[in-house]
Amino acid sequence: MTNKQPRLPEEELIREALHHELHSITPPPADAVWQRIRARLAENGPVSSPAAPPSRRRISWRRMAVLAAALIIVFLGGREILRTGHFAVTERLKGPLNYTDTDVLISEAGKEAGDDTGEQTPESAPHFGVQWEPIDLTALPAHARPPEELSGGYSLTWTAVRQTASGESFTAALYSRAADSLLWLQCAIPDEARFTGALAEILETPLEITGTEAGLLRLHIGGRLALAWQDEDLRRLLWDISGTATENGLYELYNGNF
Amino acid sequence: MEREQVEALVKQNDDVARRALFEAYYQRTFGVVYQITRSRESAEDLTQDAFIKAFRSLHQLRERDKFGAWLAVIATNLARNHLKRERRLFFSDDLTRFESDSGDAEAEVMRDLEIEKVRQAVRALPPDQYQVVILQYYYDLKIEDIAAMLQISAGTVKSRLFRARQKLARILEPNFAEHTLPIKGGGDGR
Repeated sequence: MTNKQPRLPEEELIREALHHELHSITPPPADAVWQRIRARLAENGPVSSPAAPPSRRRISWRRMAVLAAALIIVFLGGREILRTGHFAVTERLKGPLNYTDTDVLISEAGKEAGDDTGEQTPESAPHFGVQWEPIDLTALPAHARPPEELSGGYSLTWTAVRQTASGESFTAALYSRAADSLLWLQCAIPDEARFTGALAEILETPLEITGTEAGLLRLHIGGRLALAWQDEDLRRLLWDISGTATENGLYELYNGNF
Repeated sequence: MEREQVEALVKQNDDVARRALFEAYYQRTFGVVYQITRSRESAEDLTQDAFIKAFRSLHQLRERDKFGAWLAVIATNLARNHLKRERRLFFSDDLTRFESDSGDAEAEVMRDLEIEKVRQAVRALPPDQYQVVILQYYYDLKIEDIAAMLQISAGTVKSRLFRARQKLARILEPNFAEHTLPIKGGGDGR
Protein backbone atom coordinates (compact mmCIF):
# COMPACT_ATOMS: atom_id res chain seq x y z
CA MET A 1 0.00 0.00 0.00
CA THR A 2 2.90 2.35 -0.40
CA ASN A 3 2.05 3.29 -3.97
CA LYS A 4 -0.89 5.49 -4.61
CA GLN A 5 -3.50 3.94 -6.85
CA PRO A 6 -3.07 4.94 -10.51
CA ARG A 7 -5.89 7.14 -11.71
CA LEU A 8 -7.49 4.51 -13.86
CA PRO A 9 -10.58 5.86 -15.60
CA GLU A 10 -13.68 4.50 -13.96
CA GLU A 11 -15.54 1.98 -16.01
CA GLU A 12 -18.55 4.25 -16.19
CA LEU A 13 -16.34 7.01 -17.45
CA ILE A 14 -15.09 4.75 -20.22
CA ARG A 15 -18.64 3.78 -21.12
CA GLU A 16 -19.74 7.38 -21.21
CA ALA A 17 -16.73 8.44 -23.22
CA LEU A 18 -17.36 5.70 -25.77
CA HIS A 19 -20.98 6.70 -26.04
CA HIS A 20 -20.00 10.32 -26.64
CA GLU A 21 -17.36 9.26 -29.11
CA LEU A 22 -19.52 7.01 -31.24
CA HIS A 23 -22.53 9.28 -31.24
CA SER A 24 -20.70 12.52 -31.88
CA ILE A 25 -19.39 11.44 -35.27
CA THR A 26 -21.66 12.51 -38.08
CA PRO A 27 -21.71 9.82 -40.73
CA PRO A 28 -22.53 10.43 -44.38
CA PRO A 29 -26.28 10.59 -45.11
CA ALA A 30 -27.84 7.27 -44.22
CA ASP A 31 -30.19 7.16 -47.19
CA ALA A 32 -27.45 7.08 -49.78
CA VAL A 33 -25.58 4.35 -47.94
CA TRP A 34 -28.76 2.38 -47.44
CA GLN A 35 -29.58 2.53 -51.13
CA ARG A 36 -26.17 1.19 -52.01
CA ILE A 37 -26.53 -1.60 -49.46
CA ARG A 38 -29.92 -2.54 -50.89
CA ALA A 39 -28.55 -2.54 -54.40
CA ARG A 40 -25.63 -4.74 -53.40
CA LEU A 41 -27.88 -7.12 -51.53
CA ALA A 42 -30.28 -7.30 -54.47
CA GLU A 43 -27.47 -8.39 -56.76
CA ASN A 44 -27.29 -11.70 -54.97
CA GLY A 45 -30.93 -12.28 -54.13
CA PRO A 46 -32.29 -13.04 -50.67
CA VAL A 47 -29.64 -12.78 -48.05
CA SER A 48 -30.98 -13.85 -44.74
CA SER A 49 -32.03 -17.38 -45.52
CA PRO A 50 -29.82 -19.94 -43.96
CA ALA A 51 -27.28 -21.20 -46.43
CA ALA A 52 -27.40 -24.80 -47.50
CA PRO A 53 -26.14 -26.98 -44.71
CA PRO A 54 -22.40 -27.38 -45.02
CA SER A 55 -20.98 -30.70 -45.95
CA ARG A 56 -20.56 -32.22 -42.56
CA ARG A 57 -18.36 -34.94 -43.87
CA ARG A 58 -15.90 -32.52 -45.47
CA ILE A 59 -15.63 -30.30 -42.40
CA SER A 60 -15.33 -33.29 -40.16
CA TRP A 61 -12.46 -34.76 -42.17
CA ARG A 62 -10.66 -31.45 -42.34
CA ARG A 63 -10.94 -30.98 -38.62
CA MET A 64 -9.76 -34.48 -38.00
CA ALA A 65 -6.72 -33.98 -40.22
CA VAL A 66 -5.78 -30.77 -38.43
CA LEU A 67 -6.29 -32.40 -35.06
CA ALA A 68 -4.22 -35.41 -36.04
CA ALA A 69 -1.36 -33.21 -37.29
CA ALA A 70 -1.45 -31.14 -34.12
CA LEU A 71 -1.42 -34.25 -31.95
CA ILE A 72 1.58 -35.65 -33.80
CA ILE A 73 3.51 -32.42 -33.37
CA VAL A 74 2.63 -32.18 -29.70
CA PHE A 75 3.44 -35.83 -29.13
CA LEU A 76 6.81 -35.71 -30.87
CA GLY A 77 7.77 -32.43 -29.27
CA GLY A 78 6.64 -33.53 -25.83
CA ARG A 79 8.49 -36.82 -26.12
CA GLU A 80 11.72 -35.06 -26.95
CA ILE A 81 11.30 -32.52 -24.19
CA LEU A 82 10.71 -35.26 -21.68
CA ARG A 83 13.64 -37.22 -23.01
CA THR A 84 16.21 -34.47 -23.07
CA GLY A 85 15.05 -31.97 -20.51
CA HIS A 86 16.37 -29.07 -22.55
CA PHE A 87 15.77 -27.32 -25.80
CA ALA A 88 17.27 -26.00 -28.96
CA VAL A 89 15.90 -24.13 -31.93
CA THR A 90 17.54 -25.43 -35.05
CA GLU A 91 17.20 -24.69 -38.69
CA ARG A 92 18.64 -25.63 -42.01
CA LEU A 93 20.25 -22.85 -43.93
CA LYS A 94 21.03 -24.50 -47.23
CA GLY A 95 18.22 -22.56 -48.81
CA PRO A 96 14.94 -21.03 -47.89
CA LEU A 97 12.97 -23.74 -49.61
CA ASN A 98 14.50 -26.40 -47.41
CA TYR A 99 12.75 -25.14 -44.34
CA THR A 100 10.02 -27.28 -42.91
CA ASP A 101 8.15 -27.25 -39.70
CA THR A 102 10.41 -29.99 -38.47
CA ASP A 103 13.34 -27.62 -38.66
CA VAL A 104 12.30 -26.49 -35.24
CA LEU A 105 13.63 -29.37 -33.26
CA ILE A 106 14.25 -30.28 -29.76
CA SER A 107 17.90 -31.19 -29.55
CA GLU A 108 19.23 -34.43 -28.23
CA ALA A 109 20.97 -34.28 -24.93
CA GLY A 110 24.32 -35.39 -26.28
CA LYS A 111 24.20 -32.91 -29.07
CA GLU A 112 24.63 -29.96 -26.79
CA ALA A 113 28.37 -30.42 -26.52
CA GLY A 114 28.59 -31.35 -30.16
CA ASP A 115 27.11 -28.04 -31.17
CA ASP A 116 29.89 -26.20 -29.44
CA THR A 117 32.70 -28.40 -30.59
CA GLY A 118 31.53 -29.31 -34.04
CA GLU A 119 31.37 -32.97 -33.07
CA GLN A 120 28.52 -35.43 -33.28
CA THR A 121 26.78 -33.72 -36.13
CA PRO A 122 24.85 -36.30 -38.06
CA GLU A 123 24.17 -35.74 -41.72
CA SER A 124 20.58 -34.96 -41.06
CA ALA A 125 21.34 -32.47 -38.34
CA PRO A 126 20.73 -28.81 -38.97
CA HIS A 127 23.64 -26.59 -39.80
CA PHE A 128 23.56 -24.86 -36.51
CA GLY A 129 21.99 -25.29 -33.17
CA VAL A 130 20.98 -22.57 -30.76
CA GLN A 131 20.75 -23.51 -27.17
CA TRP A 132 17.83 -22.19 -25.26
CA GLU A 133 16.83 -22.58 -21.66
CA PRO A 134 13.33 -23.31 -20.45
CA ILE A 135 11.58 -20.31 -19.01
CA ASP A 136 8.97 -19.88 -16.33
CA LEU A 137 6.50 -17.53 -17.98
CA THR A 138 4.83 -16.71 -14.70
CA ALA A 139 8.08 -15.05 -13.64
CA LEU A 140 7.61 -12.48 -16.39
CA PRO A 141 5.44 -9.41 -15.90
CA ALA A 142 2.09 -9.85 -17.62
CA HIS A 143 2.83 -7.42 -20.44
CA ALA A 144 6.05 -9.27 -21.27
CA ARG A 145 4.54 -12.72 -21.57
CA PRO A 146 3.94 -14.18 -25.00
CA PRO A 147 0.26 -14.59 -25.93
CA GLU A 148 -1.19 -17.96 -25.03
CA GLU A 149 -2.28 -18.39 -28.62
CA LEU A 150 -2.43 -16.47 -31.86
CA SER A 151 -5.55 -15.87 -33.86
CA GLY A 152 -6.04 -18.26 -36.73
CA GLY A 153 -5.58 -21.34 -34.58
CA TYR A 154 -1.93 -21.06 -33.60
CA SER A 155 -1.15 -22.68 -30.26
CA LEU A 156 1.77 -21.93 -28.03
CA THR A 157 3.92 -25.07 -28.07
CA TRP A 158 7.28 -24.05 -26.69
CA THR A 159 8.89 -21.22 -24.78
CA ALA A 160 12.49 -20.56 -23.86
CA VAL A 161 15.05 -17.91 -23.12
CA ARG A 162 18.59 -17.29 -24.28
CA GLN A 163 21.16 -14.60 -23.67
CA THR A 164 23.51 -13.02 -26.15
CA ALA A 165 27.22 -12.87 -25.46
CA SER A 166 26.71 -9.38 -24.10
CA GLY A 167 24.01 -10.57 -21.73
CA GLU A 168 20.90 -9.40 -23.51
CA SER A 169 18.07 -11.77 -22.88
CA PHE A 170 15.69 -13.00 -25.58
CA THR A 171 12.42 -14.73 -24.78
CA ALA A 172 11.13 -17.05 -27.46
CA ALA A 173 7.76 -18.65 -28.05
CA LEU A 174 6.89 -21.10 -30.76
CA TYR A 175 3.36 -21.18 -32.14
CA SER A 176 2.16 -24.08 -34.23
CA ARG A 177 -0.83 -24.78 -36.41
CA ALA A 178 -0.54 -28.05 -38.28
CA ALA A 179 2.48 -27.56 -40.55
CA ASP A 180 2.74 -23.84 -39.86
CA SER A 181 5.13 -22.51 -37.25
CA LEU A 182 5.79 -19.01 -36.07
CA LEU A 183 8.55 -17.93 -33.76
CA TRP A 184 7.88 -14.98 -31.49
CA LEU A 185 10.89 -13.29 -29.96
CA GLN A 186 11.17 -10.52 -27.46
CA CYS A 187 13.95 -8.55 -25.88
CA ALA A 188 14.45 -5.23 -24.16
CA ILE A 189 16.85 -3.58 -26.57
CA PRO A 190 15.57 -0.13 -27.45
CA ASP A 191 18.02 0.59 -30.26
CA GLU A 192 16.98 -0.90 -33.59
CA ALA A 193 20.48 -1.57 -34.91
CA ARG A 194 21.49 -3.26 -31.69
CA PHE A 195 18.32 -5.26 -31.74
CA THR A 196 18.87 -6.62 -35.25
CA GLY A 197 22.50 -7.33 -34.43
CA ALA A 198 21.53 -9.26 -31.34
CA LEU A 199 18.84 -11.02 -33.32
CA ALA A 200 21.31 -12.26 -35.89
CA GLU A 201 23.56 -13.41 -33.07
CA ILE A 202 20.87 -15.21 -31.15
CA LEU A 203 19.47 -16.96 -34.21
CA GLU A 204 22.86 -17.47 -35.82
CA THR A 205 21.12 -16.70 -39.06
CA PRO A 206 21.73 -13.98 -41.61
CA LEU A 207 18.99 -11.44 -41.73
CA GLU A 208 18.09 -8.69 -44.09
CA ILE A 209 15.91 -5.68 -43.41
CA THR A 210 13.64 -5.32 -46.41
CA GLY A 211 11.54 -2.40 -45.33
CA THR A 212 10.30 -0.14 -42.58
CA GLU A 213 6.76 1.14 -42.42
CA ALA A 214 5.45 3.23 -39.60
CA GLY A 215 7.67 1.61 -37.06
CA LEU A 216 7.15 -1.92 -38.34
CA LEU A 217 10.34 -3.53 -39.54
CA ARG A 218 10.07 -6.11 -42.31
CA LEU A 219 12.88 -8.64 -42.44
CA HIS A 220 14.00 -11.76 -44.17
CA ILE A 221 15.64 -14.16 -41.76
CA GLY A 222 17.12 -17.21 -43.37
CA GLY A 223 15.00 -16.37 -46.37
CA ARG A 224 11.82 -16.32 -44.34
CA LEU A 225 9.58 -13.38 -43.60
CA ALA A 226 9.56 -11.70 -40.23
CA LEU A 227 8.06 -8.56 -38.76
CA ALA A 228 9.57 -6.67 -35.85
CA TRP A 229 8.12 -3.83 -33.85
CA GLN A 230 8.53 -1.97 -30.60
CA ASP A 231 5.96 -2.21 -27.85
CA GLU A 232 6.85 0.31 -25.21
CA ASP A 233 10.19 -0.82 -23.80
CA LEU A 234 10.23 -4.16 -25.58
CA ARG A 235 11.13 -5.12 -29.10
CA ARG A 236 9.29 -8.05 -30.59
CA LEU A 237 9.57 -10.16 -33.68
CA LEU A 238 7.27 -12.59 -35.41
CA TRP A 239 9.07 -14.93 -37.78
CA ASP A 240 7.41 -17.30 -40.20
CA ILE A 241 9.77 -20.12 -39.36
CA SER A 242 8.00 -22.71 -41.51
CA GLY A 243 7.89 -20.46 -44.55
CA THR A 244 4.22 -21.18 -45.11
CA ALA A 245 2.75 -17.76 -44.37
CA THR A 246 2.22 -15.15 -47.04
CA GLU A 247 3.28 -11.59 -46.43
CA ASN A 248 -0.35 -10.59 -46.07
CA GLY A 249 -0.90 -13.49 -43.72
CA LEU A 250 1.93 -12.36 -41.51
CA TYR A 251 0.61 -8.79 -41.45
CA GLU A 252 -2.80 -10.14 -40.56
CA LEU A 253 -1.34 -12.15 -37.70
CA TYR A 254 0.49 -9.09 -36.48
CA ASN A 255 -2.59 -6.89 -36.71
CA GLY A 256 -4.75 -9.49 -35.07
CA ASN A 257 -2.53 -10.29 -32.16
CA PHE A 258 -0.17 -7.48 -31.28
CA MET B 1 -36.80 -5.38 -30.49
CA GLU B 2 -33.42 -6.25 -31.91
CA ARG B 3 -34.11 -9.95 -31.56
CA GLU B 4 -37.48 -9.60 -33.30
CA GLN B 5 -35.98 -7.75 -36.23
CA VAL B 6 -33.24 -10.28 -36.63
CA GLU B 7 -35.68 -13.16 -36.49
CA ALA B 8 -37.98 -11.45 -38.98
CA LEU B 9 -35.06 -11.04 -41.29
CA VAL B 10 -33.91 -14.61 -40.98
CA LYS B 11 -37.36 -16.07 -41.39
CA GLN B 12 -38.99 -13.73 -43.86
CA ASN B 13 -36.22 -11.72 -45.46
CA ASP B 14 -38.07 -8.67 -44.18
CA ASP B 15 -36.75 -5.48 -45.75
CA VAL B 16 -38.42 -3.30 -43.13
CA ALA B 17 -36.62 -5.16 -40.37
CA ARG B 18 -33.37 -4.84 -42.26
CA ARG B 19 -33.82 -1.11 -42.67
CA ALA B 20 -34.67 -0.77 -38.98
CA LEU B 21 -31.46 -2.55 -38.00
CA PHE B 22 -29.50 -0.36 -40.38
CA GLU B 23 -31.03 2.79 -38.94
CA ALA B 24 -30.39 1.64 -35.38
CA TYR B 25 -26.73 0.81 -35.90
CA TYR B 26 -25.52 2.92 -38.80
CA GLN B 27 -24.11 5.83 -36.86
CA ARG B 28 -22.33 3.86 -34.15
CA THR B 29 -20.95 1.37 -36.65
CA PHE B 30 -19.62 4.18 -38.79
CA GLY B 31 -18.15 5.70 -35.62
CA VAL B 32 -16.38 2.50 -34.64
CA VAL B 33 -14.90 2.03 -38.11
CA TYR B 34 -13.92 5.67 -38.43
CA GLN B 35 -12.14 5.41 -35.12
CA ILE B 36 -9.86 2.75 -36.59
CA THR B 37 -9.40 3.99 -40.13
CA ARG B 38 -9.42 7.74 -39.49
CA SER B 39 -10.78 8.17 -42.98
CA ARG B 40 -14.38 9.07 -43.66
CA GLU B 41 -14.25 7.65 -47.14
CA SER B 42 -12.89 4.30 -45.98
CA ALA B 43 -15.23 4.25 -43.01
CA GLU B 44 -18.23 4.77 -45.29
CA ASP B 45 -17.22 1.92 -47.59
CA LEU B 46 -16.36 -0.41 -44.74
CA THR B 47 -19.57 0.37 -42.85
CA GLN B 48 -21.50 -0.45 -45.96
CA ASP B 49 -19.55 -3.69 -46.38
CA ALA B 50 -20.11 -4.59 -42.74
CA PHE B 51 -23.87 -4.30 -43.07
CA ILE B 52 -23.88 -6.31 -46.28
CA LYS B 53 -21.76 -9.00 -44.71
CA ALA B 54 -23.92 -9.05 -41.60
CA PHE B 55 -27.18 -9.27 -43.53
CA ARG B 56 -25.81 -12.01 -45.74
CA SER B 57 -24.69 -14.13 -42.83
CA LEU B 58 -27.35 -13.25 -40.33
CA HIS B 59 -28.40 -16.86 -39.95
CA GLN B 60 -25.03 -17.48 -38.31
CA LEU B 61 -25.86 -15.17 -35.42
CA ARG B 62 -26.93 -17.44 -32.60
CA GLU B 63 -27.66 -14.88 -29.92
CA ARG B 64 -30.00 -12.65 -31.82
CA ASP B 65 -30.18 -9.97 -29.20
CA LYS B 66 -26.50 -9.27 -29.82
CA PHE B 67 -26.76 -8.06 -33.39
CA GLY B 68 -25.10 -4.74 -32.57
CA ALA B 69 -22.05 -6.30 -30.99
CA TRP B 70 -21.82 -8.87 -33.75
CA LEU B 71 -22.00 -6.14 -36.37
CA ALA B 72 -19.30 -4.24 -34.48
CA VAL B 73 -17.06 -7.31 -34.63
CA ILE B 74 -17.60 -7.61 -38.39
CA ALA B 75 -17.00 -3.89 -38.88
CA THR B 76 -13.88 -3.70 -36.74
CA ASN B 77 -12.45 -6.81 -38.37
CA LEU B 78 -13.00 -5.23 -41.78
CA ALA B 79 -11.37 -2.03 -40.57
CA ARG B 80 -8.37 -3.87 -39.20
CA ASN B 81 -7.97 -5.83 -42.41
CA HIS B 82 -8.24 -2.59 -44.33
CA LEU B 83 -5.35 -1.16 -42.33
CA LYS B 84 -3.37 -4.28 -43.03
CA ARG B 85 -3.96 -4.03 -46.76
CA GLU B 86 -3.04 -0.39 -46.69
CA ARG B 87 0.07 -1.37 -44.80
CA ARG B 88 -0.78 1.34 -42.38
CA LEU B 89 -0.18 1.00 -38.75
CA PHE B 90 -2.02 2.64 -36.01
CA PHE B 91 -0.05 5.61 -34.78
CA SER B 92 -0.13 6.22 -31.11
CA ASP B 93 2.99 8.28 -30.69
CA ASP B 94 1.24 11.57 -31.30
CA LEU B 95 -0.82 11.29 -28.20
CA THR B 96 -1.45 14.17 -25.99
CA ARG B 97 -0.53 13.47 -22.44
CA PHE B 98 -2.97 15.26 -20.28
CA GLU B 99 -2.08 17.15 -17.23
CA SER B 100 -4.18 16.65 -14.17
CA ASP B 101 -6.79 19.26 -13.50
CA SER B 102 -6.51 20.64 -10.06
CA GLY B 103 -8.73 23.68 -10.25
CA ASP B 104 -12.02 24.31 -8.52
CA ALA B 105 -14.24 23.80 -11.56
CA GLU B 106 -17.76 22.57 -11.13
CA ALA B 107 -18.18 18.81 -10.87
CA GLU B 108 -20.01 18.64 -14.16
CA VAL B 109 -17.31 20.54 -15.99
CA MET B 110 -14.73 18.27 -14.43
CA ARG B 111 -16.72 15.27 -15.55
CA ASP B 112 -16.84 16.58 -19.10
CA LEU B 113 -13.12 17.15 -19.06
CA GLU B 114 -12.53 13.63 -17.79
CA ILE B 115 -14.74 12.21 -20.49
CA GLU B 116 -12.88 14.15 -23.14
CA LYS B 117 -9.59 12.83 -21.81
CA VAL B 118 -10.86 9.27 -21.94
CA ARG B 119 -12.14 9.82 -25.47
CA GLN B 120 -8.74 11.02 -26.56
CA ALA B 121 -7.10 8.09 -24.83
CA VAL B 122 -9.45 5.56 -26.39
CA ARG B 123 -8.71 7.02 -29.83
CA ALA B 124 -5.07 6.19 -29.24
CA LEU B 125 -5.62 2.49 -28.60
CA PRO B 126 -4.38 0.01 -31.20
CA PRO B 127 -7.26 -1.51 -33.21
CA ASP B 128 -7.21 -4.90 -31.51
CA GLN B 129 -7.42 -3.33 -28.07
CA TYR B 130 -9.98 -0.78 -29.19
CA GLN B 131 -12.10 -3.63 -30.50
CA VAL B 132 -12.31 -5.43 -27.14
CA VAL B 133 -12.83 -2.18 -25.25
CA ILE B 134 -15.81 -1.33 -27.45
CA LEU B 135 -17.26 -4.79 -27.02
CA GLN B 136 -16.88 -4.78 -23.26
CA TYR B 137 -17.70 -1.21 -22.37
CA TYR B 138 -20.05 -0.14 -25.12
CA TYR B 139 -21.85 -3.38 -25.94
CA ASP B 140 -21.53 -4.77 -22.40
CA LEU B 141 -20.36 -8.17 -23.52
CA LYS B 142 -18.77 -10.57 -21.09
CA ILE B 143 -15.23 -11.71 -21.70
CA GLU B 144 -16.45 -15.15 -22.74
CA ASP B 145 -18.85 -13.61 -25.26
CA ILE B 146 -16.13 -11.40 -26.69
CA ALA B 147 -13.86 -14.40 -27.00
CA ALA B 148 -16.55 -16.35 -28.80
CA MET B 149 -17.32 -13.53 -31.20
CA LEU B 150 -13.71 -12.82 -32.01
CA GLN B 151 -12.84 -16.53 -32.05
CA ILE B 152 -9.97 -16.06 -29.66
CA SER B 153 -9.42 -17.33 -26.16
CA ALA B 154 -10.73 -15.59 -23.06
CA GLY B 155 -7.10 -15.22 -22.02
CA THR B 156 -6.32 -13.25 -25.15
CA VAL B 157 -9.32 -11.01 -24.54
CA LYS B 158 -8.18 -10.40 -20.98
CA SER B 159 -4.68 -9.70 -22.20
CA ARG B 160 -5.91 -7.11 -24.70
CA LEU B 161 -8.14 -5.50 -22.11
CA PHE B 162 -5.30 -5.43 -19.66
CA ARG B 163 -3.01 -3.74 -22.14
CA ALA B 164 -5.76 -1.31 -23.15
CA ARG B 165 -6.39 -0.33 -19.55
CA GLN B 166 -2.68 0.05 -19.02
CA LYS B 167 -2.42 2.40 -21.97
CA LEU B 168 -5.45 4.39 -20.89
CA ALA B 169 -4.06 4.78 -17.43
CA ARG B 170 -0.64 5.68 -18.73
CA ILE B 171 -1.99 8.40 -20.96
CA LEU B 172 -4.24 9.78 -18.28
CA GLU B 173 -1.76 9.49 -15.48
CA PRO B 174 1.66 11.02 -16.16
CA ASN B 175 3.23 9.19 -13.27
CA PHE B 176 1.70 5.88 -14.17
CA ALA B 177 5.03 4.21 -14.84
CA GLU B 178 5.71 4.28 -11.14
CA HIS B 179 2.65 2.27 -10.36
CA THR B 180 1.17 -1.11 -10.98
CA LEU B 181 -2.17 -1.16 -12.68
CA PRO B 182 -4.82 -3.17 -10.91
CA ILE B 183 -6.83 -5.48 -13.11
CA LYS B 184 -10.57 -5.17 -13.11
CA GLY B 185 -12.79 -8.03 -14.11
CA GLY B 186 -10.16 -9.58 -16.28
CA GLY B 187 -8.72 -12.28 -14.11
CA ASP B 188 -4.99 -12.08 -13.97
CA GLY B 189 -4.70 -9.94 -17.03
CA ARG B 190 -3.58 -12.65 -19.35
